[in-house]
Amino acid sequence: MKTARAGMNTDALGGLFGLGLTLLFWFGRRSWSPLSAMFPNTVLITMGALSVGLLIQSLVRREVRPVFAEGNRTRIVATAVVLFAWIWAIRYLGFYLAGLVFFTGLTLYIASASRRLTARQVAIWTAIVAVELTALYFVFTNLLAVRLPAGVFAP
Amino acid sequence: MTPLRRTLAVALVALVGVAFAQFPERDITYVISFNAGGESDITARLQQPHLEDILGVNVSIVNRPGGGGAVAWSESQRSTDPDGYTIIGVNLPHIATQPMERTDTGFETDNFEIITWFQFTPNALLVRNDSPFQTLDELIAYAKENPGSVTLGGSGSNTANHIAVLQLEQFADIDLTYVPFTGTGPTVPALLGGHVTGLMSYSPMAVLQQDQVRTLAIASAERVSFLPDAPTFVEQGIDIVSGAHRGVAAPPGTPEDVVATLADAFEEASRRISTEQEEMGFVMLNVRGDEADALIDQVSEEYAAILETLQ
Amino acid sequence: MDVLTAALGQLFVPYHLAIIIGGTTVGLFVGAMPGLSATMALAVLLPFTFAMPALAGLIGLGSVYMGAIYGGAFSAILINAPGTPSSIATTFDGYPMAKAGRAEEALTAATIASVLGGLFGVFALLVLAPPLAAFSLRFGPPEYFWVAVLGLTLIGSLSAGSLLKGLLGGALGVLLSIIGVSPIGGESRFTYGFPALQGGVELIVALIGLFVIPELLVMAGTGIAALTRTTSVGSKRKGVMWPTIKRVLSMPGNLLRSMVIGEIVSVIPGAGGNIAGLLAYNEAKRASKHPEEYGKGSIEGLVASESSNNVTVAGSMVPLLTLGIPGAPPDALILGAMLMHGLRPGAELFSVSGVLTYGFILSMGLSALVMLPIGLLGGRLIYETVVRVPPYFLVPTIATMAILGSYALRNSMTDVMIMLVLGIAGYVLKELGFHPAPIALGLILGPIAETGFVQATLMGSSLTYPFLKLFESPLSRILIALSLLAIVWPWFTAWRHRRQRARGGPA
Repeated sequence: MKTARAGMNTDALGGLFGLGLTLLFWFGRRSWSPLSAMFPNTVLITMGALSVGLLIQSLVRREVRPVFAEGNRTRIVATAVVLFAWIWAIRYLGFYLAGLVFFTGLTLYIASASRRLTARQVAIWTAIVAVELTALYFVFTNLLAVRLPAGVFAP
Repeated sequence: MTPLRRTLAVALVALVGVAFAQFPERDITYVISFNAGGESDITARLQQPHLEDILGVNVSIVNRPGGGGAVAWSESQRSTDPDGYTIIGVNLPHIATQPMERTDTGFETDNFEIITWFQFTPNALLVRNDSPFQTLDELIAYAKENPGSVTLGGSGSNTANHIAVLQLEQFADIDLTYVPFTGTGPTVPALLGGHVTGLMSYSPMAVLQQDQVRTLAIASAERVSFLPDAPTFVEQGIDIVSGAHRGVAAPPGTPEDVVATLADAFEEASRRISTEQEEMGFVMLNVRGDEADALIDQVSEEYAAILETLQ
Repeated sequence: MDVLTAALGQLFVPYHLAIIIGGTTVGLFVGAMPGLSATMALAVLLPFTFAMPALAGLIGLGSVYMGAIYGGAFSAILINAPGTPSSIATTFDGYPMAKAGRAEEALTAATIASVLGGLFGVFALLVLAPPLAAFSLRFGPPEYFWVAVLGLTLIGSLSAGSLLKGLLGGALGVLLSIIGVSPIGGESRFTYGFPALQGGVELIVALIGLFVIPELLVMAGTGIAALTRTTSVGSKRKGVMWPTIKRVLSMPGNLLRSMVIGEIVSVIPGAGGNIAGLLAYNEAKRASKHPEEYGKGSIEGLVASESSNNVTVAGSMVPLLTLGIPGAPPDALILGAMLMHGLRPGAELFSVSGVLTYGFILSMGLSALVMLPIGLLGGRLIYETVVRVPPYFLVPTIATMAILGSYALRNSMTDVMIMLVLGIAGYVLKELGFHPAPIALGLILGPIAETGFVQATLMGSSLTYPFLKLFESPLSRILIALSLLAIVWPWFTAWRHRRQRARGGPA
């Protein structure tokens, strides 16, 4: 972890990423008619060329710069994971319940980094979250006529 | 009352309750598989207040655009409860042609419970007012001498517009160039700006743009009330009767009486808005039951035949 | 003139004024929420307008539209989320300003610029509609292709740092835009067997992911809210508004240039506020004496973006009212409302139903004026709220907005997933030196470029070399020349700089 924080060759990484994506999409092509195939082919070739260009640049001009330096990395990764879990849970719990669980969870997690939590705080915060979500839910479903996912507990 | 009697009585009430439970008991979701502001969407929003009035429950319109309608259609067939509380707008030939041309549309043409086809927009061949072509014959004659140089814009590939151009080529034995656009909207500036010779569009466009365009032919069986001076293809010796149908469907397996109730509601809603709709260039229909499925079959066969000659 | 006075008279009745104020406020809210589009708000309102008198209905739709395009600036400045695609360029300088404690200044500048832009658009619509409509018709498929190419040259100035990375980002954006059903040909591409992917990557969904999620992750990581309050605001509060207003008004060149760009872009059907904002931003940067400040909190860049995108509201009415061509999705709903009331676009609209039509046009001007007090007050209110929310509430709140916004656009959980995946990828890419702007640009312009190119070659299919159709019209050639100029310009300025430095001039 320490060595990584020292820095990486971002040109090389960017080039590899571009090349990987180019290949993924290149093999995702199907037998399309020329009308549909013309443009993706052009774009993929351009993208492949640009990726190779970036790789060459990374060899010529070995530039190493610090990456992922801002913020606590563990917390960033954890937040990303929580977001995925949140979205996954909406399918089952519905928007409101999933929001209640993960919103509160995320609040407590981030807050715990900078302060000690008391039971009273947790209770108050949960109530605030509930009020905020209720307001949003009401605005969306009633005023904007958006059907939010209700999950398995739907009537 | 003895306990047994009471149980019987409760059971009886429950039974009667079930039998008399009137559909609909709660709000209905009307899914539109195109963007807000599209013709399908605007038609649905026209129907919405009347449907609410007739059915006595809220009807909310949900736009679920994507893939030319396919995203919402596949969802309707795969993961929607067949209880009639979630219904979806359907379009012909779209539901017939998309499974023919794509491998992963995610829905099947025949797997809808069609409530009713309520609207028809015949194809219309349009040119600009100042175009040298006064009649369909003149355009055909010119195309015969200059193969490929007559360009006709239309909405999308393998759509009703596209197929009508292919039919025109076949029946008149000419070579045209069809230029697909992404929807009917962008076709208008293309025509008015002279970027294409003409358009194969739908009848509402002919009405909307009547100050600036001439309708050379319309693909209805008989002349339409809203454009009485526009001749049909048939009367000019080209046997094209085609266009796009708009309807509404429930997921497969929806009970028959529910479908019938909905069909009645749509019939009544259509009747109430028919004057405005006809003025805008729509032909109002009410094709339901077996006839509705027969219409799909007929369109499917017609299009399959034409698309085969393409390959 | 009589018809204008009559129209104005019709507007100044309590009923209509209430609709304008209410509509603008609703629009502002809708625009400020990422994912709630002007189109959606107008669609929800449409059935109500059927029951209203024609003028009242149109006024309602017009003011919501106007408010929504302006409201996008709020979330762009405060949480780096373009509330509507039109405010992409607003994030470039608005958010850095807010981060530096200049949020109030940014919001005020955006408000003034939007009001001026809105008024300019209405003025142009009143005075120049016929020639502008004729101009808009010159754009056919080949010209659209070149417009997209011209737009892609912006990558040069948007990719802070490495040009190669900017270009790769642009290509990535174009590639993402290809996912789904092809615009010409109707086949599904890169769906990998998922029917839901036929819908492709929706622009605003990608924008929420690319712009919001990276900021959110960093905020979670540092535990510090991005917005900091300038010290001792309390005493200086009066001091922010007037200097900012003066500052904005002291750049008439920038304002005029941006508004003219907005007008030109918006009358071309299909090219909307997003392209206008980006082009205006780019031109402002090119003309600026301090281009190095752009992207780091330049008030000029912010003003360019916001003044141009609010011109587009009335601007897109030009092809709609004169020719019946809805240039942007919200216009299609306004057309629907008009048709339901028996109003057909064209010359008659301005003669026979003149009072109504001019009333509608003028109401958009009033709506723009109404934005001034609502924006200045509401802006401060929202800012005060956001800046007071501690980071542990702000992060999940923004996450909720991102989820709601990407869901509500198409009622799709798939879109929410796409948003998050692009967001995480965007965070990693940003760390590797890829700015999200070129990716967004590729997403916007990819479909325009593809459609134009394929259609042009089809149109030219009777030529020996079909692609020559692309070079046929004078307008195409002008656009090609502009693109070449845009590509050469950075090299030219770099060369000039070097020469100046060699001579010992100021670096």
